[in-house]
Amino acid sequence: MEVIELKNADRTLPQRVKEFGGIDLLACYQCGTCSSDCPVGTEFFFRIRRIMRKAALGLSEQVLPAKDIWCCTTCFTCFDRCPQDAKPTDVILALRRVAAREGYTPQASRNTSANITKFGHAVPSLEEIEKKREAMGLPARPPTAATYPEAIREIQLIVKKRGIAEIIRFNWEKMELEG
Amino acid sequence: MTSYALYLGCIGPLRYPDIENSIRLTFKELGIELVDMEGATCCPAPGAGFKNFDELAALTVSARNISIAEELGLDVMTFCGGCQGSLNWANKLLQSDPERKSRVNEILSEMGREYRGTAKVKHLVEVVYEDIGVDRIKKIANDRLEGFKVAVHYGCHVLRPYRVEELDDPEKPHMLDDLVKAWGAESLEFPEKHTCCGAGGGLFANDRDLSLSIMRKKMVQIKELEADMLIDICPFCHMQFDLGQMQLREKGEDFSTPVFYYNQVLALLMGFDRNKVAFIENTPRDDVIRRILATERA
Repeated sequence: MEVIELKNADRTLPQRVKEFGGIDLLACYQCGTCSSDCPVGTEFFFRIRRIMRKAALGLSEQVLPAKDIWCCTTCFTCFDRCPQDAKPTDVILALRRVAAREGYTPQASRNTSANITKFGHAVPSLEEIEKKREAMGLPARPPTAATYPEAIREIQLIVKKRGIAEIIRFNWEKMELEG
Repeated sequence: MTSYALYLGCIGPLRYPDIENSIRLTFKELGIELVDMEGATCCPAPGAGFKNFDELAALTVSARNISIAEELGLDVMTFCGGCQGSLNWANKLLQSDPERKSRVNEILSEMGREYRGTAKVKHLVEVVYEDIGVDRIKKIANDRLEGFKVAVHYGCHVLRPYRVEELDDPEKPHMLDDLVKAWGAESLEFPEKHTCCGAGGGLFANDRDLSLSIMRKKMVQIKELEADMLIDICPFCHMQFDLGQMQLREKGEDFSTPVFYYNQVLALLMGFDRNKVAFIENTPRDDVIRRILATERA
């Protein structure tokens, strides 16, 4: 059996989780309702209950670099059913925010936010789809940021104000992710 | 006339514009005006976009979107679970939290915008159910889909978290079932009926195999029941089922349940041309569309 030495634990982690939105982490009493309801847990060894406990104990090295926190689909089933209202989905999102600030973000998640920064949309407009839109009598591009570049500039202002580019390592000159 | 500001999101207009068009056409015919929100952006996703990195950034992007509807003096109608989840979460949080609201408005003021918190954010299913109504759908369909077996998929963020959405019972929702039964069709019951499609939270892109295995679990049951079609109310869930089944077929598995957004079948029943409302697909729908159209002559 693995022994966890709590003297080496990162005591700042529960506080950081709280600051980043997982405000009720410590309400968890480990009943396991979250894990038993989780749609991901049946397909992969992904246990919200474990993540909640590890976060509360400050086991940063186990929680922050692991892919687990990025496997939650944010279905909010555990959020609705938690008898302690510990809001596990909020804890997962908070852990992602903490992990991202330590450089642990999957490429695909960085890409999605880079797309929003570049296009104002999570996915770019494609010529093939634009043709299909026109064939139906719709404008080639929807009347969104895909048509109005000033909307993209407004999103970029929000990105700059909130430091998202630094977190996902987005290069403004090249308008793409670094690495 | 009832009017809404139409919030388009990303996957609808940019990947499945036939869904967008089916909504525009059916709503127009049913007397609900949809006004475009010019310059709207990504919502920005409940667990795939900015919300992973900074809560206030996500709130500000959502608030900017909602402020466009506020300027039009209209409530927002979304047609995607994720968009509904993002915008309604932001709206309710900001309506009840003056401090967050003022921080959001501090940023929005630099682009000459203001979020006031005066608009509601509703998903299409609520508008169809409340403003159009089951009886009206029944009259249109005239039991034409009697004998059709339908698997419905609500998607997570239309229902959860309940304290945000406060719409239908997330443990046993009925709205979409009722709207499908209004066509005369049977709405199937199966153990995984209310399980997530596996696409959300960034998992669609982060780990395609894991995301597909979550979807597969549902599709196995839907296939066993020999469903004629799967009906969804979210373009992202729609993409997961439509594209995902093709990806499973490429791995040698046999999954081919036709997938429709609710309004696509409604549009076919209302007589709209298939080539304007349901023609973008990776999982073939020709046979079932032919059968739906054949009910008109019967």
